Amino acid sequence: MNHTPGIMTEPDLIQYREAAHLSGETRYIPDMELYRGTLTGYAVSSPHAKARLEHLDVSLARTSPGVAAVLTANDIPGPNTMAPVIDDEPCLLPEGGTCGYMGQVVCIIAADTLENAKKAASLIEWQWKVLDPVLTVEEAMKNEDFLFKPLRLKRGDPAHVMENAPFRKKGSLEAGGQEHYYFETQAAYAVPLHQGGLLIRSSTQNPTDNQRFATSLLGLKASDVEVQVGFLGGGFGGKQTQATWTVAWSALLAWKTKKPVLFIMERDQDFRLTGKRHPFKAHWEAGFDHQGRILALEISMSYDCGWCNDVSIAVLHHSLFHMDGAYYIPHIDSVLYGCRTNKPSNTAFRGFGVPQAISVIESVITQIAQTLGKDSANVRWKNYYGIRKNNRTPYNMLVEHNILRAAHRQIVQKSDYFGLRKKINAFNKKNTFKKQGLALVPGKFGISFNESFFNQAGALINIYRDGSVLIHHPGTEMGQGLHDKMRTVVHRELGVSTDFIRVADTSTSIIPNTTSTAASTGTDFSGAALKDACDKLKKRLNPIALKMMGLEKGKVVWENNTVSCKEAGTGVPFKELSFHSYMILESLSEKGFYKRENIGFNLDTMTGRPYWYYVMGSSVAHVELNLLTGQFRILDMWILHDCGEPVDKGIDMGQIHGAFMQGLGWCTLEKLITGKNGRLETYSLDNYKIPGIYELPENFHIELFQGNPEPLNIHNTRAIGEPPLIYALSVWLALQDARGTTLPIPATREELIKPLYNEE
Amino acid sequence: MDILRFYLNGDLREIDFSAKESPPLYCSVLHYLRKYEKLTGTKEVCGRGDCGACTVILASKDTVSGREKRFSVDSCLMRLPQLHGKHLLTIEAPDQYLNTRAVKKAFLKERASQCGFCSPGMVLSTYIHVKNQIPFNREDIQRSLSGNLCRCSGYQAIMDAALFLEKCPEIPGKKELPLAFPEPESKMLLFKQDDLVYVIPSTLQEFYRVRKTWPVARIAAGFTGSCMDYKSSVIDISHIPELTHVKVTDTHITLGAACNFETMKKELGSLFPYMMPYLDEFASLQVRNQATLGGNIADGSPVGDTMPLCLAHDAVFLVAGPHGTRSIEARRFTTGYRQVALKPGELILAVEFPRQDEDAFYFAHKQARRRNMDISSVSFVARVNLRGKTCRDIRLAYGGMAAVPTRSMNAERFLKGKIFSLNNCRKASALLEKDFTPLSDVRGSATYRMDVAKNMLLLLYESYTGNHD
Repeated sequence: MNHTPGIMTEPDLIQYREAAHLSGETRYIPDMELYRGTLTGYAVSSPHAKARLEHLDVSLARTSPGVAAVLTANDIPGPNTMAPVIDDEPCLLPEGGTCGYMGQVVCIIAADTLENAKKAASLIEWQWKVLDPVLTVEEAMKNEDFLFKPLRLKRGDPAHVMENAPFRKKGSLEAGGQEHYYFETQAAYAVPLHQGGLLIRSSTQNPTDNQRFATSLLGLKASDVEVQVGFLGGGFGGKQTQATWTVAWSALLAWKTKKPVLFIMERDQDFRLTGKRHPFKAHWEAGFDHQGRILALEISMSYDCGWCNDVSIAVLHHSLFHMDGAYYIPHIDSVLYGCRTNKPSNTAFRGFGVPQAISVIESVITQIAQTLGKDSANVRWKNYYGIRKNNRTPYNMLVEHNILRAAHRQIVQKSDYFGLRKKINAFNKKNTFKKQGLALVPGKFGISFNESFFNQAGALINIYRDGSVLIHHPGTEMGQGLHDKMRTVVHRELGVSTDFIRVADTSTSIIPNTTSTAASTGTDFSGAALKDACDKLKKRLNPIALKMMGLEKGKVVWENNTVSCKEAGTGVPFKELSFHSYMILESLSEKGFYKRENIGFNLDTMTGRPYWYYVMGSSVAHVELNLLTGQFRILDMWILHDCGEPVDKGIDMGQIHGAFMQGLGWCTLEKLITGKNGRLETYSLDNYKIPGIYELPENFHIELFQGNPEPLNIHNTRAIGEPPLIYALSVWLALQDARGTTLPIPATREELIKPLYNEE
Repeated sequence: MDILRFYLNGDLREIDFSAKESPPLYCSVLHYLRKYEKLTGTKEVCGRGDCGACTVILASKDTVSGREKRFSVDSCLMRLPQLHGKHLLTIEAPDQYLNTRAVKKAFLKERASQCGFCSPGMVLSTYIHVKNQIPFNREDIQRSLSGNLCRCSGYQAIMDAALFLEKCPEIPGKKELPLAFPEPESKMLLFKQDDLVYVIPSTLQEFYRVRKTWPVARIAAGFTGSCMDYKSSVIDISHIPELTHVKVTDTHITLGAACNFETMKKELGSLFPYMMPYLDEFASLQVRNQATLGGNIADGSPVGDTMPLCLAHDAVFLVAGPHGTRSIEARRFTTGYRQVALKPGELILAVEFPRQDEDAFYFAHKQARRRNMDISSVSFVARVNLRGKTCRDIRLAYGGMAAVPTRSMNAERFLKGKIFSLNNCRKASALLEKDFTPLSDVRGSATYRMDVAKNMLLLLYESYTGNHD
């Protein structure tokens, strides 16, 4: 459905997913061929950030030309809820209910055209009692309006140690949110099937949650609803829970009208309706010794979660478990508040709370260095997790395969960090309006879902009798190259060349009960499940292959499209084995399964093993800032990242580049502005700026750390999607270094010219 | 009523807007392609010329030289009738007309496509870079691709793919066939649909006539400012010869008002090289291929990046109307927030810039949140005429600091006759507070704008010393 080979017919190119992308042949949801009679869906939003819906009348809208259905909360057959974690999120705001943010959807319309749907929307009659919205975390903190009990992680006796520390420093940090700006907006296509079934084509990272809510809202069974996913035009976490909206609405409208309904969010609407990265305000105090070693740390962070829970509690847990960054902190107390505000409900975004936590701890380190007059790289060195001692996190997990100091040493050498430092000092002495800065930021990122039940995956491999292979796995392809990597995994396991392996679109009917393709776990989970299927297949087919070779037993090897026995010097082509197995009534289909057991943590003691392993690395940024304009150049950017043994180096490099650039947008460019009435003022690309090609570092040096395979993971690789985003913080800290002051996030040009007039 | 004629990927298209099922007269080229041609390779992302995902290639034929010219545009900012007489090429075009094979191969080699949504537009922008023989260095590639955003790749792979093309033996466009074009027509065109018209006069006289008939129709040339929002009748002035004329004499350079920004950059940039980087930061290549000088001025925007240029150069606008032509000095043109000195029925014919004085030093800076494709927070263009070290004459023109682009009279008065020094520039900057009380909006607070404006005078001096010492 997604990939129709056509114009690009060169055999060496056609097998690539990207070839279809480049030729414009990939069919994202807005590009699909639609069934006859397909209707267009449209959502009608609340015009207030906080208001009680006193009265709602859609009868006039229902009679508007071209309209097939106008649905309100009353028309939902099942329970009106679609909250992924805590039940506080209705699908449609019922009459009498109070809206949580400007944009919350009150009713949905299906019409022949979008124009007619919008016309009908203008005929809806409603009355609102407008209330004062809460728009800042300060207000929410003052009212103690939290979405869940504050999360706290404490080790040792920080208060006491702080009191006796040789040095103490207090600080604060404020960071804004970030719009995902996936290029394809939220979109779904719901098609009623015979026998009461429903097929939904969705642009989602989480087909099973889509299925779950379409099912419950309609009062159906999961087996009635199939969710299919082709290629997403970007996800970045924004289509993990947020994709459920268009799915739910199109499903409800299709169910009601018995017609296919296409629901594509318009860009402005997507901006205003869907959640973003969590903004926060943090206050901290550190006690440290004369070398900069942190003895005690107290951190309090208020997260702006928006109007409802969504996955905020999980984001905050992930954040909490990264408050230590890459550093061993013997006495630590961190408290995280999930504040309720009348804004879109903030959600998963590449990093899932980790970039926020790292920005705070790296601020702490930087300011300790400043206080002591030391280079911050040296202070980092003093604080890294040790290999044999000082190697347990505040939640008591052992930090294994620790390359923090090795990566630090290597990147200092590659970037000539200390030589550069001298040059920068000389440059800064000579120049009044231009200043250079330098910063080193390490990476340490835990991989897995903290909730243990999410850590599972199924897979299915079908071999056809012509020797071609079709693989099904639970992950979704959103540009991160997962399908390509999965093909490589199966290619390595079965020895079949990649042009004979095809990855099917993701479907809940083929792989049930999938976990969201999130937390950078796609390759880990799908790969391991596929390997399991391959192992089972080989176990069944090996005796048949031996028999075909005329052997009783022997060590069978699968490579180069041949199944062979090296010691006997003989083998059979994979194709023949496939055909023969079919002929002798042997199944050529096999399912696989993978689970990570014993992951999780004890909520009472806040200890445990929330992660399977850590991903680590290091980065150095060298910037030049113009103090008169706030414009800066990234002269050099070094990243040394550990992917273990990459399944596909090209893809992993692309993930590092892309994550860095997205992080750079968050740190320096992308600023969300909410007006006094709760209206998002930055709702389109002409007032919200994401990085362009001019923002590319002038010299971008990326290397993969060598010699540290991950034995716990498929093909010794490590997850890649999210961790490199935090290296962008080195640019942010290099800018602080250039100016000699602290900076909020994003450090926009407006922030970057501030010190000049402060000095005067 | 006329029939719209253009070629699409090698095939002639004739659209009769009065026919049932025909696309709306105000249909954007993007929606036409996706909805009516079912060519979905052209993607919609931002829908307002800010991302380049809908990039298409437009080819036109020079009526005199017969030479074919290809350039990129954002199809979301183009109306269907603007295609008249042209050849439109999309990512789906067959190889013999649009050979993107080498570009695609380079992108594949460098893994320069991730989710793929920006890829067709990115491929076409890279193609046009190669096709128009622009040098393969970072800065030029950045200029060519700065109108195309990508949210996945981080651009490095795209940059590497573009750089690789220099060494690529299979040069794109080598084996392309000449494109077909509809027969040229030098007459007025009138497209009509229900109550709406889209008129393309071919002479000034025709313009005056149709202006009388449709006095409230929107006058447009490039359409980049209002394509998305405006659904009423249009008079398209881009085909009037006087409006695209460029005249260079010993004393002046005169640019027709319908000259696009790329033409303006080329013509003005050759006389005033300092303008090149300033104009490069205006929108994107795609938009600069469409947007016109006159449109930017007549829009009456408080920022309008060309107005500070006109103010610093003491440019004069030649204005034509049914009662004849007249000149308006740049400083008298914008009369209020989005208000200009044009009378009903009038239009800007051309803009006249005096040639460079021997002793003039120029400086321009656009302060936005991002380097390009952004509306200025503050724009600044200065001219300093020096006699020795003394400032003989000076223009300090600002956009974004008031309801209209304005000169800072107090700062100018202060510096005139004084030694041009950092200290005096600093003193002059304090006087900006007397001239301006800027506003706060999403592009920056009032304080920020004032600080930037002040810094501009220091930057001006820095630039002067950098160039002269």
